[in-house]
Amino acid sequence: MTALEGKRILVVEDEPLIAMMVEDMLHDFGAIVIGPAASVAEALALIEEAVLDAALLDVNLRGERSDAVADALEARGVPFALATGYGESAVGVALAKPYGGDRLVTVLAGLLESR
Amino acid sequence: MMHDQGPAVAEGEADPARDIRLAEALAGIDWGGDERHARALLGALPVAVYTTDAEGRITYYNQAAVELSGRRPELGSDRWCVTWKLYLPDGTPLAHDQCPMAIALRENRPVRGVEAIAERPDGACVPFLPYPTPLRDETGRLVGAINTLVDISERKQADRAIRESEARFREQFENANDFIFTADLKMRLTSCNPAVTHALGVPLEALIGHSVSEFVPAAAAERNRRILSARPESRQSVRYEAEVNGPDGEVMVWEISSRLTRDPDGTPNGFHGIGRDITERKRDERRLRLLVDELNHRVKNTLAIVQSLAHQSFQGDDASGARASFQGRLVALAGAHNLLTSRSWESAELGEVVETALGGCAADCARFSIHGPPVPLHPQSAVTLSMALHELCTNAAKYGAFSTPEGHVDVSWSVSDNDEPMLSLRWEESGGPSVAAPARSGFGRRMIERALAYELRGRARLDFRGEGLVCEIEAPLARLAGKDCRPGG
Repeated sequence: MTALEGKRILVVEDEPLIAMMVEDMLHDFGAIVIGPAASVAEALALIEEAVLDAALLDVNLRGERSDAVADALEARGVPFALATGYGESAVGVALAKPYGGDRLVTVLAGLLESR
Repeated sequence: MMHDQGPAVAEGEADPARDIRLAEALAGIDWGGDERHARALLGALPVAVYTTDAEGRITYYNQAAVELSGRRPELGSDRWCVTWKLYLPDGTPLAHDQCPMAIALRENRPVRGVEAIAERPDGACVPFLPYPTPLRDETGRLVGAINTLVDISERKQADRAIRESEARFREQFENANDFIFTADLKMRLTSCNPAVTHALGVPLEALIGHSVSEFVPAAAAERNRRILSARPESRQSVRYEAEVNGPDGEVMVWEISSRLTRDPDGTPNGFHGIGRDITERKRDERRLRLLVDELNHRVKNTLAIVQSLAHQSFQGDDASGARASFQGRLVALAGAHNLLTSRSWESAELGEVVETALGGCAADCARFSIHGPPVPLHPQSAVTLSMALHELCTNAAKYGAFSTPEGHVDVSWSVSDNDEPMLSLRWEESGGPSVAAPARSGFGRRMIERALAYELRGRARLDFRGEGLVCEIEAPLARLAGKDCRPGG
């Protein structure tokens, strides 16, 4: 039983291979993956209709910044972590790519706790 | 009376102001007394003085008059002037019978404020101020005149030097590519060079008397004011970057160096500024930063994709250990990249490299300690060292000090103080299970003993002691800092 067991995690990631791996990692920790969404529009649609416990958000979606998604998540009170290749200092709660499963679960568990 | 006063001035450099005072004093003396004494006094003066009779014939001249005129006048026959030829300041010849002394005698009045140029027989010209003054006897009858000639050639030269210097600075001001401007204390412009009007695209009239704030974006105006008023006591210039409204609505960036100007008693009376347009440079810097950020982002994304490929490739229970090792190494590599990115890939601090490597592995900071002086590392050395430290961490987590709750890792280093300084770094585990050298040399060990030693041009030794693993690394500091450019790195 992990902190992510049964939690509904939205994954927003435009790179399919990375999305697949994140999905696998989250499954391994017992989480339920919502998405993955590959664009801002897809992500916004999922936020609209799904019940979410937390989200993992790629900062850059095919050249489009995911600020609108972050705003929508914030408006709904869904905690999220930003996955970025720009280094961890760039934004608030961040996951520097590439990250391992341990780091992923630590960050997400922290978000769920802080809710 | 004059007898007991002696010469009024000391010997020394030409001093027109003093000589003029002297000329006025001589003009006011009552010459009716002892002529012998008067002549002795006049002869000692460093200022040209001569006297004439009522008809203007020279009756006396002193040595200074000979020096100024470059000739010895004929007593009793030369009239009005000791000088050879005379000119007005504009170069017009002046006849001797029209000279100030002739006028003073003819009109029986002192003549002042006329400047003339004396040409000597040798061709040299001396600008001077004459002070011709009529001499009268007790009854008031005109008996002659005394004239003092004050040499003003040095003053003229100084005036010319100032004019030339001003013309030179004016030229620089007018033609400078840099912006030069002055403002009063309320930041209203008092002068601007053409570079400013050109850059702002407005005529000079639209600038002079106008506030600087009219030409900068509102936010920048407040900031400029703060910067400039920050240190009113300072006499040093302040250097800052300011945004300025360009002619086509585009915002320019100027690098300005400005300082308070003061009046002679030290009270601030305005500002003086020199600036240059660095808009292009700022734009290039921003573009480059974006490019570097983007490239960095892509490298990380690519590493994440590689990680994902490995994840998909090593499926199944047998492979999970290999998958975790691979993932750990990839994350360690990315960590070193992040560290270097935050330092613009210039160099990394050894302490930070060690901390990043250990922090990524041992979640609890109490499990390790780090001691050592600052050592800058070349990016490539930093990456290799990060990877080696990651292997040590992984090994400690599996078999060593980090595999038990009590274990501890101590990393310390020092730099030798000689001609070729060497770094000695020591990784020492304690409190973990008893260790023995592994039968097979794995990747981690090869990474440390071969790759690291090769990269650092040094030695790396692993000692599997019963009480815990010790790793000792020695490398020349020059190589670590990237100052040694021998191939192979």
